[in-house]
This record gives sequence, C-alpha cells and structure tokens, in this order.
Amino acid sequence: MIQIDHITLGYANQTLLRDFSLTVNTGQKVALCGPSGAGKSSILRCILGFVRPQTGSIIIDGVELDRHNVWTLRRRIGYVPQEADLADQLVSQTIRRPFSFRANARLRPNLDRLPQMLRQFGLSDAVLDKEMPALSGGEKQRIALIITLLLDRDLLLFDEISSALDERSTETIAAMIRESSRTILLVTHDRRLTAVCDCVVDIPSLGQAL
Amino acid sequence: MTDAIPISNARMAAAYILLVIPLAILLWYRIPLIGKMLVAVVRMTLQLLFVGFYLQVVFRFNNVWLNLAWLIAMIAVADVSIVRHCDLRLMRFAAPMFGALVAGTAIPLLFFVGVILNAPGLMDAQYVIPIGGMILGNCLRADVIGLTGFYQAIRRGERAFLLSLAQGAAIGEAVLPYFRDALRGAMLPAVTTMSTIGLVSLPGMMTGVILAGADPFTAIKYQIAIMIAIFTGTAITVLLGILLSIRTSFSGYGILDRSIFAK
Repeated sequence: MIQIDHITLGYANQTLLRDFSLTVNTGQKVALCGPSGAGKSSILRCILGFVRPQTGSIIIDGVELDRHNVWTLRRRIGYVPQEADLADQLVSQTIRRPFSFRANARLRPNLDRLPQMLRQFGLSDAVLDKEMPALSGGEKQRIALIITLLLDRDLLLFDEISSALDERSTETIAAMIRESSRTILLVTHDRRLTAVCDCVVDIPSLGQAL
Repeated sequence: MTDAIPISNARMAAAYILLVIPLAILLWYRIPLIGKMLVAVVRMTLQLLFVGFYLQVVFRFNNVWLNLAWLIAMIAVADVSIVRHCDLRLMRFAAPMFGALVAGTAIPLLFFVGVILNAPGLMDAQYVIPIGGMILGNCLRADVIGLTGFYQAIRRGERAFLLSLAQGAAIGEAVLPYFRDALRGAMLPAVTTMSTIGLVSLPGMMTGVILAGADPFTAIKYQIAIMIAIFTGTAITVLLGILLSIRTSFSGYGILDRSIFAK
C-alpha cells in the first residue's frame, strides 16, 4: 500500500502541489490525470525518493520513506519513466544491467522470460543486438517496461507509459494492467489505460513541474 | 659526458629575444593574445625564480621536514588548481582531493626513491622534490579530466542514473559506468604517451638527466621508472579523488547534490 500523506512539492518560492494526499491500496490500480506541469510525474519521483516533499510524507506498507530505508523500498518498486533515458549501450546489455545489481541477484533466472516478453510487446530478438540510441522512442519505452516487468516488483509506477507507443502495444499494456494483481500508480492521459484502472485522480495545476 | 653548461645572467636574458618571433606572429595576424602572453612570461619568470631561490635553500639544508613541507605545499597548490579547473566547489572537494593527491604522490614517490633508486635517504631533496613534482604535475591534468568527466557525465545523464537507482542499484553500482569512463578518460593520455614516448619526443626527465651529464642509458632507466611512477600516481589520484568525494557529493537518497558545481 502506498500512502501519500499531505505532501507539498515545490522549489524555491514556487509551490507545485499543495497538501496532496492519496492512498493506493494493495492490488489497486490508480491513474493520475491532470494538466502538464501539475506535478503528476513529481509525485512518482517523490515516491522513489528522487524529489523530497517540503511537507508531508510517503509511507509504503507502513514504513515512512527516509534516506535510510529508501534503498530497500526502491527494490520493491518498478518504475517506467516517460522518457526512457537508458545508457548508450547494446539493448541486451541495458536489459541485463539491472540484474547485475546485488539486490537483484536472485531475479537473474527471470531473464529466461525475455524472449517471451519481447514477443508480447511486438519486438523481435534482433532488437537485442541494436544500440540503444538507434531505437525509436516507442521501442525504448517497451524495453524499459520489459526490464521493469522482469524485475517482478510489487509496486509499479508508470509515467506516461503509452506516450510513444502504437495502438497494439498500448492495448497489450492495458491488458497487462487489467490482469495484474500488483499495486499500480500511473500517470496517463490515455483513456485506454484509465479505463482499466480502479480509480482516476485528477491533479489540479498550481505551477510548473519540478 | 660533461656536467651541464651553466647559463650566465646575460645569456639567460638573451633567451627572451626568441619571444620576438611569437610576438611578431601575434601582431601580424592581430591575434588578441599579446597581453596574456606577456603576463604569462612575467609570471613564469617570477614563479620559477622564486622556486629556484627556495629550492636552493631547501637543497642546502636538505632537511626532512623542510622537504616534506615543500611537497605538501606543492600538493596544496595542485589541489586548489584541480578543483578550480573542474568547476567544482573548493570547500567540498579540497579535502578529498588533497587526500587523493597525498596518497597518489607518496606511494609511487617512496617506491621510486626507496626501491628503484635505493637512495640512502628516503626524503633526500635531490630526489624527492624533482620526482615528487613530476608525479604531481602529470597527475594534475589527469585528475581534472577524471573528476570533470565523472561529475559532469552524471549531471548530463541524470535520468539514466536515477533509473539505475530505481532499478535497485546501490550508489556504488549506479555510479560504476560513469566511474569506469572517467578513469579510462583520465588514464588514456598517459597510456598514449607511454606508447609513443621516445618516438615522438624526448621526454623531459631524460633530457634533464642527459644535460646533467649522465649517459643516455642511465637517462632512459630514469625515464622508464618515472613514466611508471607517473602512471601509478595518476591511477591512484583519479581513483581516490572520485571515491573520497562521492560520500559528500550525493544525498542520502543517492541524488547528485547540484551545489557541488561552481557553475
């Protein structure tokens, strides 16, 4: 369960999001909607500890996020950013790298599911031998999603996950969200994705994004 | 072999006549570098004269503590120069870089003097000061390349860096690719220099030893040893410079602290 408890986000004298609270129960799928710059992506980054709230707190399964436990909590969260800015290397290396981290060592057998995942998201095995910069935005987004799904996290945070995807891939993701038993919080404007969520939260605009 | 021919003050002054050639080139093509060139020549002259006078005193006394003080002063100057050239905050980086430079100078220097030369005194001014200076001077450029490369690459590629953290990387795992690239970038010039030395140019130390009257083969042995010492010093200072500064450059959440940058 993710509890966002009365957080205020902003920088310098500008407030982006004021006194915002939200609870996402275990297994629930919640979509965050709202105008650009309302702070939707910043909420996801706040849950990951990349942005610190000026007030309020983030509580995950009863544990309040702080600089000591953020490292453990991150290992329970899967995150797909809006722009999948992955390092300049071969796709196969990009996919394998997170599995070289000590915290993910026990997940290495999950890589056996890679060929099946590639097919599921409309990618051929040949993509593995390409350099990351040679991929289209949609291909990068699908690779980032595949990595996140292979990491088998309990909580999934998706930021505009369908922004560069074609119809078929978006429908695959919508089906995946609908069938998943995981807790999912996603930022999206895509009706096909909001339609499979349990709840849609509208974030009003106060300022510019962090 | 004969000792180096002494240069009289009058003939030393004559060396400046050579400057007429670059000065004429700058004037002819109206390159706005004359002021800077003249200031640089004056600075070089005054700095080297000062060092010359000071070294005479240091060599005359050949006192362990005085030699050590001179080495520490050189390290402190190099420390400030490296941090400033990296556009990093002096207050944040002076201490870790100083530690890295002390280790990166002391280890190859003591090995050079104690093991390779087997000199009677480990802190003999005749060896410790010129060799320490050569190691330090050559580490300077590599450290600037390494530190700048490391922190600027993370700053530019912050999204990829943060994604690594989100994927479960510890801070050491997240910085590893940037660390490898920075070390490679810093050490590559020294590797290139080693592979072409003697073919492209006669190195400084070898020239100095030959001018002092030694036979070329002795000069070559000194040069090989100093190149290895410099390369070792470079590796140690870049490695420690980054490792010692990581602790204070990232927040407890693993985020790069942007206030480390001077610009």
